[in-house]
Amino acid sequence: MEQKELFEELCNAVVTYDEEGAKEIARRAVEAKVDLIEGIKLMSQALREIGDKFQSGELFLPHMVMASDAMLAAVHVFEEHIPKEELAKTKLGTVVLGTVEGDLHDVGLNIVSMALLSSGFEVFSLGKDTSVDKFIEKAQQVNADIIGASVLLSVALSKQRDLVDEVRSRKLPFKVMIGGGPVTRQWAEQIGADGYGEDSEEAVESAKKIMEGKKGGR
Amino acid sequence: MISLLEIAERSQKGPRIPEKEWDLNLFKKISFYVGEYGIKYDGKEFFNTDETILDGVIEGAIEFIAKNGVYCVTTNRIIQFEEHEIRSALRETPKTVVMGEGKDARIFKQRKIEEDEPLGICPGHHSPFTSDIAPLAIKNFAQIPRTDFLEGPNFLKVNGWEISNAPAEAYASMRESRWLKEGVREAGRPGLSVLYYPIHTRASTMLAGMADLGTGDGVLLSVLPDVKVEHDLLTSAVVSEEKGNYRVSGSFAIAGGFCGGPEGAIFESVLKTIAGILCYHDQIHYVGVEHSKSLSAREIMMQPLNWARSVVFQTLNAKTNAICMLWAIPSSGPCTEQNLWEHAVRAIEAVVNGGNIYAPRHVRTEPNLGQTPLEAEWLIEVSDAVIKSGLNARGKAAIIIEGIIREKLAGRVPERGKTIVECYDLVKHQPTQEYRELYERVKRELAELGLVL
Repeated sequence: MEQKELFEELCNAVVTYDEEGAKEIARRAVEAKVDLIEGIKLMSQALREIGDKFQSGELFLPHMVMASDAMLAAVHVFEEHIPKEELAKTKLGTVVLGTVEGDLHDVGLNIVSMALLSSGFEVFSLGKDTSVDKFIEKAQQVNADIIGASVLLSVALSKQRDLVDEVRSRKLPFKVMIGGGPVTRQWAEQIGADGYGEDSEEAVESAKKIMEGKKGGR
Repeated sequence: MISLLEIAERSQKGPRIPEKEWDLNLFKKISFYVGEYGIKYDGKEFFNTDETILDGVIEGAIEFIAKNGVYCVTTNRIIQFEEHEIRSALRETPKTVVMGEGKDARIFKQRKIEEDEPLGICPGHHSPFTSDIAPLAIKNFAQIPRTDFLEGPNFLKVNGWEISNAPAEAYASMRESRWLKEGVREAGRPGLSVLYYPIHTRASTMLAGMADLGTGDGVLLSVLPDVKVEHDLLTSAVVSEEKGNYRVSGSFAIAGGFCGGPEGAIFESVLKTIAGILCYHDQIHYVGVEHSKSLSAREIMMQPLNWARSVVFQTLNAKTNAICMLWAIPSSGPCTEQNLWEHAVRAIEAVVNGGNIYAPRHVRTEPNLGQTPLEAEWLIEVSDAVIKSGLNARGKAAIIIEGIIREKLAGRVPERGKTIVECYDLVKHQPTQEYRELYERVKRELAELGLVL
């Protein structure tokens, strides 16, 4: 089967949320020795289209989750056959996300997670009630660029500051961005966060700016 | 009603499933019921007038819980229910709650759609205050004569201590309850009911705050988004029930999340209300449909959220005993025109939909920038005027609201607003001149749109 046809099938699997189908097509793509990097780029484009429809309200969070699951299923198959350095070039950056310790709210976190994923970031979501140590442990494990901490309970705001302080005091290489209902730009500046998002769109822009800064050596 | 201890036991013995599987199943199943019962906004009417939808929503919700249960995030298991247990609970949950004591005792009750009795109201707080302001703010909200019960504030610091660990949370919780009690006494309303707002949902924090509550007081115990419950709040439910407190749940749903769009959010709000009744024995519920974009103060969002909200209220008021409140949660902060207009819309909706009013704050609060007594009094004033003017019927009310949206809200962007001390004199219990002038102007403009206060 031609590369073009295979990639069309793959993108279709993403936009129809067909995780098993995506996996199977990915295996065929590997066997056919097609350009796997190109495949990942096209799937990212397909996921971005789902993301745009999510932002416009045409699709919802579950659609984003299912589409990203399908894409990730295919990417996991490809990964074994692509050199790490080449694979890294397909991503804008790697983000570890979570809601801070003691907070059980994750609606906003899930939305930001999907927005970042559909924009080309590799995302590891730790979910709710994530301690500072867990954030850092995961970030070290996956060689993250950014740690993103969300909060909804006002009383848990200090955990975002604790995260920033811990990253700085240990001179860790991660940038920290924050967001959530009670979080303001002023709070982000006050605690020295590297990025802030009032909503998912701004979170993506903030993450992109951070990555541009990193590439520029800042 | 199934006992709370049995709920706890079922949460330990039910089938285990990963949370992500529950989330995606929620969407698939809600989508099925939306399609099955034809729940769709037709774009023509402001409030729902199709009563056949209500049967579909309630039957779909009961069937969902009977087949799928409620998810416990503490144990990652399903709490399962038989259909007859669900229907029993909906019959047994009370239509009235007696709250407070003495001359300030109130009967808070379920309202009916388009009813012409005045609304009940909880005017504050559910937002952070600094500890130097909190006691005085509480007194001011208690001074509103129509206050039926008063929810507590939360804090980032109390008396200089940052609230960032469990012991400090317990300390803050006790301060909250004691300041609530002191505030209502200072207002000359010692028997006014107070509602404990969780400084944190950790059981130790909750119980510390609940210790000073009397039998006429309440506790906020909300079902989590995506129809989930957990053990710390269940623990608090067990204790509050023995203390004789009433329980309130935040059972609104967020369109765009795992429930899907506004139609799916209708189901989630009803599901959460039922889950709250079953799993926490909640008796009062602030319900409805919101959107993640308005909750992040990016947009002032209207239809189809208004329609979806009306379906939720109509379903619960017509088909259950649930006592519902409409959450007046504007995108803009105090002392802004948009805040008053958004509040006016919600006040009119509450009257028509059969909701009482839950008016704690706007969407993105900062310390002392949540609300002032003026907004609560405005809600009361507008809702009373709707009833007095005979505009509580759906068709008539819609004309007023659509005028407000068209003339005053369309295309506007949310504004931050001002802190309570910037726009309200807490010593004299009155707005600043600037805020009063704004209020008077909006009042005149509302009269021009057809509602005279």
